[in-house]
Formats: sequence, C-alpha cells, structure tokens
Amino acid sequence: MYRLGVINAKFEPMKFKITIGVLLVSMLVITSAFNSKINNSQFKRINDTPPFLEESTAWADSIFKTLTPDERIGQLFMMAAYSNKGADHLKRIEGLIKNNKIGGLIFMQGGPLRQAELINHYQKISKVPLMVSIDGEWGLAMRLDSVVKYPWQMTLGAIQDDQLIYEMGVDIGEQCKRLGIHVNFAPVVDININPKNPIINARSFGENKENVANKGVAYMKGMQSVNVMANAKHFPGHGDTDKDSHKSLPTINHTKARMDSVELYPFYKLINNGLASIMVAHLNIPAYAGEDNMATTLSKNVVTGLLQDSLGFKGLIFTDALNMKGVSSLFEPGIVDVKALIAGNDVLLFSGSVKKGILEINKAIERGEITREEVDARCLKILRAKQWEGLDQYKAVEKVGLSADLNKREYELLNRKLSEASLTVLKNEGDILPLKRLDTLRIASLSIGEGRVSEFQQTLSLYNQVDHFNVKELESKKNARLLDTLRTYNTIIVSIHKSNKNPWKSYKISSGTKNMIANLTMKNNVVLTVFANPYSLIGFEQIEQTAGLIIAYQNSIYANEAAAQLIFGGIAANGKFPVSVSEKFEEGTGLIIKPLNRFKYTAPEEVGIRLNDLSPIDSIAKSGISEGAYPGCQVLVAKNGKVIYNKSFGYHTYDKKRAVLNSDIYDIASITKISASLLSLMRLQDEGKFSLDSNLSAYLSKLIPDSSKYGDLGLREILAHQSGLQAWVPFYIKTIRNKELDNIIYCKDSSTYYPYRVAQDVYISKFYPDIIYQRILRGPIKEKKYKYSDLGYYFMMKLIEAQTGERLKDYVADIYATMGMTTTGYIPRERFSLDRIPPTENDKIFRKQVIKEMYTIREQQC
Amino acid sequence: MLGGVGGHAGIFSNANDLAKLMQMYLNGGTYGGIRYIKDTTLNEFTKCQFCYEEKENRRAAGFDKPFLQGYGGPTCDGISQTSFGHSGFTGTMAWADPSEDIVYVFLSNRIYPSAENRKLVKMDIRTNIQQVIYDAIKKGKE
Repeated sequence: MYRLGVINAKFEPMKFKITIGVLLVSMLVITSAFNSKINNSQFKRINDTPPFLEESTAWADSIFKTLTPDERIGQLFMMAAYSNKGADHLKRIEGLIKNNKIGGLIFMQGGPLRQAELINHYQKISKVPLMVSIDGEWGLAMRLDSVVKYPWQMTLGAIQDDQLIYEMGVDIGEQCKRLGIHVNFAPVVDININPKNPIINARSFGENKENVANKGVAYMKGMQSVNVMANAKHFPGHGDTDKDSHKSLPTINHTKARMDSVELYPFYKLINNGLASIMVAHLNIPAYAGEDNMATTLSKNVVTGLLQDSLGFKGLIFTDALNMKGVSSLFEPGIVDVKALIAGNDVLLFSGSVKKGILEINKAIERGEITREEVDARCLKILRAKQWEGLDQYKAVEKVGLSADLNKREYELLNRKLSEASLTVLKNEGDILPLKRLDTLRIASLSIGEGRVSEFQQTLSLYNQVDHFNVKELESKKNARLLDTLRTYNTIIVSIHKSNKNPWKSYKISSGTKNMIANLTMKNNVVLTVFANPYSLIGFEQIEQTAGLIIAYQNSIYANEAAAQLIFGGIAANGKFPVSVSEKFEEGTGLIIKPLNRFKYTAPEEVGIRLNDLSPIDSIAKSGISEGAYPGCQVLVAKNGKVIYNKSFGYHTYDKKRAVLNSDIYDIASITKISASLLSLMRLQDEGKFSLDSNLSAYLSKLIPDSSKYGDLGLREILAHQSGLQAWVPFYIKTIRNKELDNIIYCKDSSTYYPYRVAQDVYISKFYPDIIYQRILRGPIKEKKYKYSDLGYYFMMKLIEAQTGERLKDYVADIYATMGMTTTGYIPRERFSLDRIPPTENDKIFRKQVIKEMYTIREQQC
Repeated sequence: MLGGVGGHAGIFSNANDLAKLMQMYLNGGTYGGIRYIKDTTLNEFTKCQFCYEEKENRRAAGFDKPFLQGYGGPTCDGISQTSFGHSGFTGTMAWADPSEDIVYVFLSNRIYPSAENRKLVKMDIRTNIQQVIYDAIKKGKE
C-alpha cells in the first residue's frame, strides 16, 4: 500500500518555509535521487488501467489505417473554440480541422445552443470525429451561460457524504454528453495548501489530501460511469504556490519526499481507480524535473518517469494550455509542442501554432529525438479514447430540447443538496443554533455586500419576524446610527456576501465589517454567516466573539436559502471545514447541528413530486381569477414537513392595483375555529381544564343561568355541529335603523364606551358583545342533528378565556409567537400595514365600505 | 362585532404561517422542537365524532373531515379519512393529511367585492387544486 510520507497530511499555511540552508541540502538530495532513478516500487498499483483501454481496438485501428503520417500527428492537437466569437474565429477553426486534421477542440466561453451548432458543424467537416472537451469544474457553467452552476470544489470539500459528489459527477457527465462533449477537465485534485494561491484556491477540495483524493475519485467515477472522461489536474500539484502558471512559471521548492506524500497522493488515488486522463501543469518543481526552470509539462522526468513509469498511468496525458506564459515564455511555438511530446504528453492543448507544431515534430522524428512509432502509438491511444467516448457511433447534438435537458429539475435538486451538505458551523455558543424560543427573540438581520434584501434574508422571514437591514459596504466610521439601531435587538443575524461570479473574485472583508462585528458582539448575540471563500476568515479575529458562526463558502442562491434554513432548524449542518484559517479553526472543524423539525423549503422533486405535475395548480388558480371567482389567492403545499409549493396569484382587487404577495395576510374566516379555538381547547384538555364529555355549564356557569337549557349542551356535540344550535343569528340587522347604523350602538369615534372597531370610523358599544350572548341564549335549541353553526364557537371563546384566564387573542398570540407564525392573529391592523391585507367585502349593506376587518356578518356554512 | 375576536372567526394569516400550525397538528402536536398538544388529544379531536349515529355528520371535534359516502364534503375525492382541516367563508381552506403527510393551504378573498360571489365553490377551485396534489404524488410514484 502507498505509505504516507514523513510529513503529515495536515498543514498550517506557510509551515513549509524552507530556510536557505535546508534548501541547499534538499537540492543535493534531489540531484542524487535522479541519478538513481525513481523507485518504482513505492507506488503500488491496484487498478490503474483506464476503462477506454479495456475495450476492443477495432474502430480505432480501422481509422488509424486511413490516416497519413501528418494526419496522425494532427490527432494530437486539441485547439480552443469559442461559441461567442465571430466569423474569423470560425474560419480559423475550420482551417485547423480541414487542413491540419486536428484531433479535438476545447470549448471556451459561450452558450449551449450556439456551441451545439458549432460542434455539429465542426464534426461534419472533420475527417475523424473530433474529441470535444471543456473546463467544467463546477459544471458547464464554468464556461457557458444558461446551464447548471454547481458549487466550487472548495464548497464541495466540506461535504461529508461523497456519494453526493459522485452523483454530481454523473449529472455533469450526462450534461457533457448531451452537449457533445467527451472530456471534462475536472476534477482539480490540487491540494490547496497556500491560502494565497491565486489560481487554484477555491477550485480545490481543500488542504486535506485524503479529502481531496476521495472527492476527486467520486467526481471522476461519476463522470466516467457515463463514458465522459474525467481529467485530474494539475499534475503534479499546483496547490502550494502563490503564483499563477497562466502568467509565469510558479516554483515549488519542496523535496521529493514531501511532494510524493502530499501533492501526488490524490493523483495516485485517482489513477488506481481507473482515471482516464490527466493534465500536466506548467510548474517549476526541481525535485521532480531534476533541473531548475524546466516546466513540468516539458519534463520527461515528470511526464514519463514520474507519471507513467512510477505511478503507472496509462490513460491520456494532456498538457495544460501551451499558450500559457508558464511555457510559452520559455520556447517558441512549435518547439514547445515538440518538447511536450518528447516529455511524454499525448494531447497538445491550445498550441501556439499547429502548423509549426507538425513541422517541428516531423523534424524531431528525423533527428531521432522521438520515433514515428511513438507518435503513432499516441495517435492510436487518442483514437481508442474516442471510441470509448462513443465517437465510433457519432451522432450530431440534437438541438430540440437541449436547454431543458441541460437544466433538468433533478440536476437543480442535487445542486441544492450540495449547498445544504456543505454548510459548516464553526461556532455555536450556548447552543444558539438552531434558534429556539422564538417568542423571546427580537431578531434583526444585517446583510453586507448585496445592497438589497438578500435571498438569505428573504428565507429568514419565512421562519419568524426578522427586521432586515442591508448595506453594500461598511465604512469604518459612519456606522454609529446603524449600530445603535441594531443593538436594540437581542439577536442579530449578520451575513457577509461576496461575488459568486467565479472563485478568483476578491473575497477580502473590509475593516468596516470587522469593526461592526466587534461592536455588535460586545453586547448582543450575533450569528454570522459568511457567503465567501473560507480564507476570508484569516486575520478576522472578531469572529471569535460571535455566538454562532456559519461558513456557506460562496454566495449562491442555494447557499443563501440553505444557511437561513439551518439557522432556524429547517435543515441540519454536517459540513467540515476543508482548510485551516487559524489555530481555532483548523481543517476538519465543523459542529453537527440537528434540525429542529421546523419547515424546510425546497423543490417538490425532493419529496418525489415533479414540479411539472404541480403546474395545473397554476392554471386552476389563474382560471379562478379570470372567471372572477376571486381577485387574488395564495396556495401552499407541504409534504413530509417540507414546503414544496408556495405561490401567490392575482391582485388584491379586480382593478389590479396591487399584486398579491406570499407575505400578504388574508382573513381566514372559519379556519379560525381550528387555528384559535381548537388549538386552545386541546391544550386545555391536556391540562385537565377541558373535556369533550362535559357540558357548557361545567365551564360557563356565570354566563349561562342554571335555568337555561344551553347549559346542558355537550361540548362534543357543539364542536361537531350536532348540538341543535341554529346556524346563525343576523345580529347586525338589529343594529340598523332606517337603513343607517343605530347611533346608540355605533359611534364614529373610538372611546371607552365605543371601544371595538367594526370598520373605518365605525366603533361599537362596549355593551354590545354581552347583548350578542343574551340574544343567543334567548334563541331556541333545535333537534340534535347535524347543522353547521357558529354560535357554539361564541361560547368557546368565553370558555377558553374563563379557563385560561387570558383574552383569547392574547392566549393564541403567545402560542403563534413560539411557532414563528408572525402574520397569524386577530386584528392585523394593529401589527401590519393595511397594504398587506387583501380586502374582503365591499360592504354596501352594513358597514358601507371596503372591509379589512374580521368578516363577521352573514357568516354561514362554507 | 365582538371587537374583531371570535371563536368562530377573526384570525388573519398568510399561507406559510397557517401551514406551520397545520404541520404541528400533522406531526401529532409538535413543531420546532416544542410539544404543543398530546398526540392522543389530537387523535381524539380529529376523528369523526358522530359517524356511527348520524351518517350525515362527517365532522370531528371542531375539525372538518372528508365527505362521507353519499354526502357532499370539503375535499377532493379519494383523500384519506384520517385527514382533517377546515374551510372559510372568505374563500379559504387548510387541510392536513397524515396518510400522505400533506399540508394544503388555499387563501383567497373571494367575497371581494361581494359575498354573493359563489364562483369559487361552483368552479371547485379549492378541491380541484387539492386533486392536483394527489395526482402529482401518484404520478411521482409511477
């Protein structure tokens, strides 16, 4: 078995500063190591044959025979094609295909449909089907618009369930295939040891070699399961440098022992799991190349000695792009190609000049630097790879349904799961997460970076009342007022949002933000969520004073939604930190947070329902509006404790002035019976203060005289509408005289005597509720048979208030508060802007106005 | 006329918050790590109370139930008899079904501008939407 080297897998950033003295010694060791050749036995081989070399060679052989010597060399070249460039570019690529018979194309920026058209066109004019590749580390979205954008590998590095990574590999493989792509230059298996790495960084699974290897294997196996080639890059490891090989040749001055045990480890693992292809980077690694300033891509010691002889890699070897400064600054176009070929590479990526390359390769063959047999063997290997990729039965990309196929709901569901599974909790003081006892919390959220209410904040609002504040950036001095306002809340949810465009964007956190965190944490409970690269926490000591600290790694919508759900216990946190940023927060840190059984908000596919199958809801809801059944409505579906559908349709009124929103508050009318009365009665029963088998007189002896037969009504009968109570009493009719409101009962101003608001400028006498009860008690009780009646619930209110000692309104409000039922309750005008309440009747008979109060009149069976 | 507070009506809500309550009922009395009601109590209150004596009465103790054979009811066809909920005169419905673990909420202001407007019921909007949910579950299992 492959043994760990002398150096442990886990590294402190910058731990490997090698002193000059040590460096000199190690250089000597390197030189002698190369004199005695690399020890092959060190890398034990298990299953290092890639699947494409295990199939018949019939098709590859037959194609090979039709090719001229130059055409065989042409197969080694893979050139860059764009779907967002003009006619000149198209012509250039056509020329390379027709004249130079290049073997493949790597597609760069553009869009899927344009790319599909180009692929079909290029394939059509190519003698041998082209091998098409892409850099799709986070899916096709790394290069293309309008496709699924998966998390960056650093985000995936936090996930504990590698099966999810495998499934992502399968999905990305399917998407590649659908778009006519055969090779995905992923995964990155560089171990990002240097936090300042400008080019790998969040494209890496992290700094732990086992984690990088395991996730790399899962990603690779997923793609290769659908015959799309995975490509491990950037061999032999681009992770421990602060330089970018696009711009210069980065030097990595580690010993061979260190490189073997750390950087090489994931490559070794992938190779022994059937890796199909690898990409060699442009790096200056004297320990491996045996000389200084020799790019690894061009080093025979690296590409042949280390990769093929020692590690036993038999798959396709791609160079990194040969036009990158890391090599193009060393040699002329053409010469670079020859050197790369002699070093042992199979595919020459993004050559500076194919024409010069073919010319120089022929010269090298003549000079005996490489044999034609060797070149032919590489051509044949490429053809065998093409056969495995399905090019022996080439079919053009079907454009119909392309966008839908590339954006399947299942893909997005997995994407959402990946974001959820990555969430990492670094701090949870006093078990603050998930937030409990919502009734005791006054919560503010401060979102920094978006300058708008973020998806994170919107999701928080689904769980509780949260007052939102947001700023684009915080300057260090101008925040006094914001600070004062925020300090009035006992819980402050701060979020830092950085660009989600690509992993290279700046993630520096400003001193203003750091000061704000420091100030807020002095007196308040702060839960901080960072939607940014984990290295943004380096030097951010203020985080240590937070009560809760969540790393969401990047600012995707899924990460926003997931983190908010985690805070309120809708989902769990299982992620582990993939890098180290300080002594307190080392690689592997991550607290498990269990969900609290509150709603999760997700896609219907998560519970086995297709969104498409729910879409008739939309058409039914809209038909009700167009037919004039209602001006607006709201529909919610939850299954298995997960809200899978929550939509609003239409407007508050038919004049379409205000669209209805999910946050709008409706008069739910008789649902009050189960959401207020029954909620209270069941709790009273649990407390022994109520029984369905009792009579009204047992609880309401004060209200109901002993002589009244109402006292004998059974509670079970009343609640089930079986007691003989009449359906309803039109109380309001007796309050109208000569078509006007009786001015003894009503007053247009509120006062001690007229405390209850009925409508705008209509208040009713404080004696009136008692009058209502007296009128009910004077009414008849009919035969005990099923008759829906509100009257019983008039008594239930009295009963609940008698048994709880509280007003019904307050009693249920306290319960709703613990559940985060922010909008639910009586008399919403006391708590919410009237804009949020779609009006009920335009009452022409009684109140003579549009009503936003409780609908009381003429309420009947519904 | 009772000052905006009644045992029979008066609550306002959005669908999301009302769904939390229905989910608590569906969970057997717990939500968000808190027990609000004993599951035995919920079982007693959400079962049909007079089904045996009175074929016409489908009601539980306060909760409405699916229709009984031969009589009209508030839900779509084929829904479990264990389900329960309520509808509202303003054009609303909240329903919980333990057998499929479903909460369904429909809210509207059908009585704007006039309570005489009965199209919501005539068009079976609330039940047709509920039917879509059950059809979608079935299709998902195919």
